[in-house]
Amino acid sequence: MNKAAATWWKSALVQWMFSIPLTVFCLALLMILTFWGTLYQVEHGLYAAQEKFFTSWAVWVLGVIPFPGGKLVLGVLMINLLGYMINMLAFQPLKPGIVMIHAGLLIMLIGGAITHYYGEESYLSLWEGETSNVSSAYHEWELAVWKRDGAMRDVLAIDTKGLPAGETLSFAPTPITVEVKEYHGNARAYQNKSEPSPYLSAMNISRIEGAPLRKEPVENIPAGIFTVRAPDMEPKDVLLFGDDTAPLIIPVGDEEYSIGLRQIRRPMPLLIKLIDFRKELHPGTQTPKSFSSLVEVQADGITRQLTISMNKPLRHRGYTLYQQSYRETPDGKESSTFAVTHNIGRLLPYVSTGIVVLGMIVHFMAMLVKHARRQRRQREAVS
Amino acid sequence: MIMRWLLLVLIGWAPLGWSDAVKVDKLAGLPVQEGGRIMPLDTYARLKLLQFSGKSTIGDDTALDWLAKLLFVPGTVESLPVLLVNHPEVMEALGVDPGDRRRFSFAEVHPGLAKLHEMALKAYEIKDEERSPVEKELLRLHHNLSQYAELAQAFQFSEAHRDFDIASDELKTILELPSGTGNSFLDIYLRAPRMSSTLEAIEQRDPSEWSALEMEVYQVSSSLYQWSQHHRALPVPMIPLQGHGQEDWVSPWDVLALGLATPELRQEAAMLQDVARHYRSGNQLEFDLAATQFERSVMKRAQPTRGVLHVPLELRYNQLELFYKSKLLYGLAFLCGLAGILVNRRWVRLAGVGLTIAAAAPHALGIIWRMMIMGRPPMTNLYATFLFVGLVVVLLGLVIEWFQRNNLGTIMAGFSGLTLLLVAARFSSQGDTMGVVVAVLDSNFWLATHVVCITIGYAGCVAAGVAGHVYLLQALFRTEEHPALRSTMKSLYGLLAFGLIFSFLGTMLGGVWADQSWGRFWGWDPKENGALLIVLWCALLFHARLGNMIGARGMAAGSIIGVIIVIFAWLGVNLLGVGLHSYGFTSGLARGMWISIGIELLFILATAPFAKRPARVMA
Repeated sequence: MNKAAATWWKSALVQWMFSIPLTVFCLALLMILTFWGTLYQVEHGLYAAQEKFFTSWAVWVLGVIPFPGGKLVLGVLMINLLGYMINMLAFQPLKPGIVMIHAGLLIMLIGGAITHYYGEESYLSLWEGETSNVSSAYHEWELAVWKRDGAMRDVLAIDTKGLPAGETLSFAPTPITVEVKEYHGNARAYQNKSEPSPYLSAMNISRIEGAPLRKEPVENIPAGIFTVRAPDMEPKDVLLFGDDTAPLIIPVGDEEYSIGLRQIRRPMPLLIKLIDFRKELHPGTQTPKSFSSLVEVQADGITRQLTISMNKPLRHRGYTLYQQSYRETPDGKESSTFAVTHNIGRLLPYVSTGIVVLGMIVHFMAMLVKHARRQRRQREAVS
Repeated sequence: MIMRWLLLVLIGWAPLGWSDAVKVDKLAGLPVQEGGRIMPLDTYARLKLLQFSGKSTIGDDTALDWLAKLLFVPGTVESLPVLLVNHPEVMEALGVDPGDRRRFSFAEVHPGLAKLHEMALKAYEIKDEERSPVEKELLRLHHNLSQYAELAQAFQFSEAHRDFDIASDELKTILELPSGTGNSFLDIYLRAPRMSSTLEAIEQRDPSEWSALEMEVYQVSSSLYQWSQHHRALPVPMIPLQGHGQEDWVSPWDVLALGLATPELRQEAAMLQDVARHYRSGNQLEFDLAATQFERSVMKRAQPTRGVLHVPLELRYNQLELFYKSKLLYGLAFLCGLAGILVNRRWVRLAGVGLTIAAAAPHALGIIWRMMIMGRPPMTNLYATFLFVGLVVVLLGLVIEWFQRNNLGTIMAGFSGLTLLLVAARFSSQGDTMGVVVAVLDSNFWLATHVVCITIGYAGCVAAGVAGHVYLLQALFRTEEHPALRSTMKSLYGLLAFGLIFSFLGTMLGGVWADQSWGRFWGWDPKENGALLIVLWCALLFHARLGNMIGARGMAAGSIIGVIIVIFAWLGVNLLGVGLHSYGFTSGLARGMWISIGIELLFILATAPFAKRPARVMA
């Protein structure tokens, strides 16, 4: 390090950024956030608490007073940690245990950031005998358009997050453009049995009404009214509802296109077929003992049968499928739902945990040894 | 359901001429299926009595004595106060003046049954979250009463009843009934095939043409039919039934009323009738023989599963009451430790250590015994965490005593061991402490690693907190420089570091488990947050001390606040009632939690500001 850099490094502000009091301050803030966010969950649910406290830059108290959010505090802690490590490696006697603990924590924070920004969570529900290679997002929706014919369908989809009224969306290379007239993240839909709907609607829905967003975002069902345009076609007003049982068909020239509002689809590099879902109860009770799904998986040209059960997921090329829930119909049909995650930072928490724990053992053992030696010396001095 | 209530009201129970002489030890080890597992009847009796009354004995009677009376001679226990009612309003609504009492007898509640049933039906329609405490209590009482009534009817098949009185000598001869005594449902049921030809003969004819004998056959048969309709789904599932490649356990009424009876099953039902009859007649020897015969027959047929094989082990566990013994010895060890500080004699200190070890031995044995019965790692529910944390804190106390030799470790161990076992006892009143685990927790590997680590972490922090108490008390009389305070502070440091390592490891292992079973490492779930708070607090204390932001006193006070955070993570999170980890909670325990948090805060306020300052050096 040259002199100027060293001077800058040792300036008061930089030193404060990397100081222990800032660490303590951040830890205290994080504790407050954690506690507050936990209490908040009772009223508002886990998802809202995550959004408000843990994945935000700031929490607005009463709407006006900012309080540092989880992202900000963890970000500052990360800089603080990094600076502390540089400081220690450059200017202080090396304590291997301490370095390991903090390096591990740094990796953990990085892993958390990667998961937050790049991790994907979705689900896949299959009835027995059903096969699929696409999973659905839990609560993110898309407006999708595809050509109706043929086995292979090219789907063009646009994320509906924050669709403003008046925006025009192009679904090139199809000739279709869609103008958003109104869109609700959660809506109620009304059918009028006696007269036909003024809109094109797959389920003859004549009216939609925006509803407040639900505590659990999974429960939101969006709806919207859109104007569909294409060359050589009268503009059509269509009403799409998240719970439509089938997509809407729109003829354009010689072609037919399907349009629908649906949970974002995520293709997986494997084809999975549910052969059998099994549920076991503890005898004489309704307490579940185990759930498992026998599946047939096709991937990389190999077909194999395996069981996915609780605590025993299926992993394939960064994708992991977990047994999540099930459904039964009165006539004995069963379906199984898998949680599907894709996360390139999946192993980082494992690595960091190992490093931190090892570091803690090294550090505290060193202290114990030092302490024991000192005590022995004192005893010898007394005798 | 409603029929059963009416039936109960109609029949009533006339106590028989019965003496309290029969010892029921032979019943204790009979296997019963309850809550998804096989347990000894002794455990079943304790659970039922706990559920009804919140206590595990009644008067001089053990739970099993009480259950035997309820099953065989229900009239004799109907005036015992076994029904716990926490809200006086409920009793007032039933027209009973509750006074200061919280426990009531069946006879007291009986006249209000119809009213209770009506109110309960209304309360059932309200959503659980919207029910008031009184409504919840009402439903609890209603539920308990129906179970009580079911138990009281469970052995009615063995009681003589006028519905089965036979007037004609001819029919008595056909049925080969013994003369003199009245007949029970079972007596007639077992002989019913002898009446089948008569029944077939009258089927085609008009009732006006029936003979007196035929009329009586018809009446008795329809009594049989009605009784079997009214006595469905009654307890106690104590007869194994094989079918479809798996075994289920059914009650004697199931055998009789559902037409499941094979010759072996009928025979076992008949054996149970003998047990009940000899109990009523007070014939100890015959009673013991009948019970033993039934047990042998059942054990011969039952599949030798883990649950069945471990019934004797569990019975022994119940009888030994290991944790009760530990509690007494911990109390003595604590007193001995205090005495050791006052008199400062070596033998007193050693006696304290000896008592602590003597207390820890049954404590550890009890935990191991539970593991053997369940075939599981030490902790599968909240109750077991108190047992385990208690033991770890005691062992940490012994380690400290080994190093410091000043009674501090003994005091810590005795106090914490006693307190945590007392808290555990409160939790045991919530139901089966060895219950089955739900599917998501069914992983011995993670139960053995994550749960053990995190609770050892709790134990470290609790032990550090106890050292913090001791430090603040010592600081009232001596300055920071005194060797006694220095050594306490060293222990506190070590314990807090121990707590931090295990809390961190446990929290991260929890993340790994979550990642393995539902695909995310961290989700800000309340229990995860609770564990995180402990880790953050320990880290904060160490850093604050390192940066000279707090002194030794701050460290001691901080470790006590650490205990509050542990209480929050351990119980408070369950109190919130959200998330994957909430296993249920009751309001009484919530109150206990708030009180203990209040006491801790008061302790800090009452001691920390008054620590003795170092004396000024006079020039």
